[in-house]
Amino acid sequence: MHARDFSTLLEMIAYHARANPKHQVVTFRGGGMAYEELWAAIENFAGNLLEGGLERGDRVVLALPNGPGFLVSFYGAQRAGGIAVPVAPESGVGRVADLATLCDAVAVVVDDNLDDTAMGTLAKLVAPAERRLFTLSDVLGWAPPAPQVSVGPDDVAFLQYTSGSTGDPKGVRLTHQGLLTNMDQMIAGMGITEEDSFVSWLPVHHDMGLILMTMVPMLLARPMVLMPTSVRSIQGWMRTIAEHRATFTAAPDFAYRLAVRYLRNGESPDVSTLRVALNAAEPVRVNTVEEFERSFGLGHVMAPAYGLAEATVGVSMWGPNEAIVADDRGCVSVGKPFPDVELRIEAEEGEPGAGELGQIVVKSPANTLGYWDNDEATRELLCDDGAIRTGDLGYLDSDGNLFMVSRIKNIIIQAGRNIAPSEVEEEVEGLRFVRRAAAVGVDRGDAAGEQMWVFVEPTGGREKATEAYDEMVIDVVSAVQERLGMRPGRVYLVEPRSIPMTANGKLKHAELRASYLDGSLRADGKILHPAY
Amino acid sequence: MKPKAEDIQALVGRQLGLRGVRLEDDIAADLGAVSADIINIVAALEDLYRVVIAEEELPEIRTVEQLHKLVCDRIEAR
Repeated sequence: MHARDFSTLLEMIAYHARANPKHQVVTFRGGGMAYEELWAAIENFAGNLLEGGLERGDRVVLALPNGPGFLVSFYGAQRAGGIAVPVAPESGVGRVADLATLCDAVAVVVDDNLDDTAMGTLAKLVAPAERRLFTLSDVLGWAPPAPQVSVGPDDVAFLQYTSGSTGDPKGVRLTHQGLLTNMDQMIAGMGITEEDSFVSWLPVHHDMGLILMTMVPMLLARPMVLMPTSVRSIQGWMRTIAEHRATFTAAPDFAYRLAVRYLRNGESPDVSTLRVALNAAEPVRVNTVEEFERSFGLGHVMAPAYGLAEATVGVSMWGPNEAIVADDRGCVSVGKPFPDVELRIEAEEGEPGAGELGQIVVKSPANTLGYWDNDEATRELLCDDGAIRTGDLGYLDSDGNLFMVSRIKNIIIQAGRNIAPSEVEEEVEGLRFVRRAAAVGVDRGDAAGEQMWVFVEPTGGREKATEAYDEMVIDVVSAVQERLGMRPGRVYLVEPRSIPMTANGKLKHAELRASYLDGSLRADGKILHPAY
Repeated sequence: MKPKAEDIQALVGRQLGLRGVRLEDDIAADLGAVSADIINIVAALEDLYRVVIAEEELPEIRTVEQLHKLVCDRIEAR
């Protein structure tokens, strides 16, 4: 079965609801949902949105965890002619409300277990703009008339918000056509067949977890086991693969490192059915690949891959069934592009030769047409021929294999999630005692991988009491945790004016990181607290 | 010099953004630390006390008290 047989994702689900009504779409926490149930729930949710006044192209924000309810809301919004806007459910309500404002959503759907205080705060934040607020059980509990809306291939199915290095997050417009095209590209490029079965704990609010790990199995009507997204899930990940005899999984590098560590606790699940363990969304380490394959007694199953939301998701992959290749820098190849994807490298002086560094540029029929309501960023993204500038630095070797070396954009990738330093800095600078803040990504080479480290200049200069400094650090950590649902790797309080800036007031993140890593920031006495 | 228990409690509190960390608290179950948080706590301890804690030892550590004991043992063995 090919995605190109369908004109929209909805047609694909409706087809399976007719052809395979009792077939399980998704297994989640021992339960699940069949195609006919999913389709009926999608129609219900769409009908309710329409009754509530949703108009064609209106945005619906979904702050929902992994589970069948996400799929119902995501496709229900599309079925009503709307555009789904998934956001990380662990985000604080302030962040959810900000994204709803950015895309001017008409409705926000949240999980049932959001506590009363958070629900109250969110209700207040969305009320002035008359956005409707639903919980997941509202979505699943109604039975209105069936919607009469036609959705076409060029309609935007959802906005994938991504963090840039500056400014607000940008909503990548992804159409049904682009999504279906990229699904076919990935199926062909990864050699996925109708024999494969999938296990994933990746968040469904984000492209790799959503498109590769839920849409592709749905297209093929193949088993899809979804796990809750939490680092704790990683503990049961390999066990779940063994239990379901899964052949395909995907995750960022850090998760495979943790999987190896959990194995040391004495468990040794049989994951010999695994055919592809896709490794993407953060730099792939040679050690991780070797240790993972050795520890679980596997052949070359790990497949380093490259992609980005602006190309829908998948662009290229190495292998599987081939030993990975790394260059002198330790940079692991992410393979050749998928069918109908062209890669080129652009440097300031034209197109570099094999092995020469430049910006990775992707030309693909699955490329986005641009960002939601952001013409300036769209112009920066798109080349004249519709190719996209990825903001990543890399090269092609003489065999046409891609190596992604670093990011041109100043973005922190913690646990596979892109974090804009500016979002962290803005949040921290909102604390009353903060004069200036800077967030940088630091990778110490340990199992945690790259982590966000936050440098803070408190107002009022040197305090005497350690306890007062401790209070400040605690406030910074909890502010970041509240906003993003993840903690910084470390917070340093530094002397006023020790965060380097350009003449026109831009933070010099690279210089700050370098001065920390080479020890000069500490040696110059610029770090006030803590003493490590 | 061996750290006092309250030094470890303060360090864990700073890393996790929490006040009132107790010795008997389970770092993951009670304090909500995920794997990366635990690795970051250990990295901070290593930097501060110049000790090395192997990754294999991490699953053994559950409470703040165990973390304190581990650091003390490591300093004593130097």
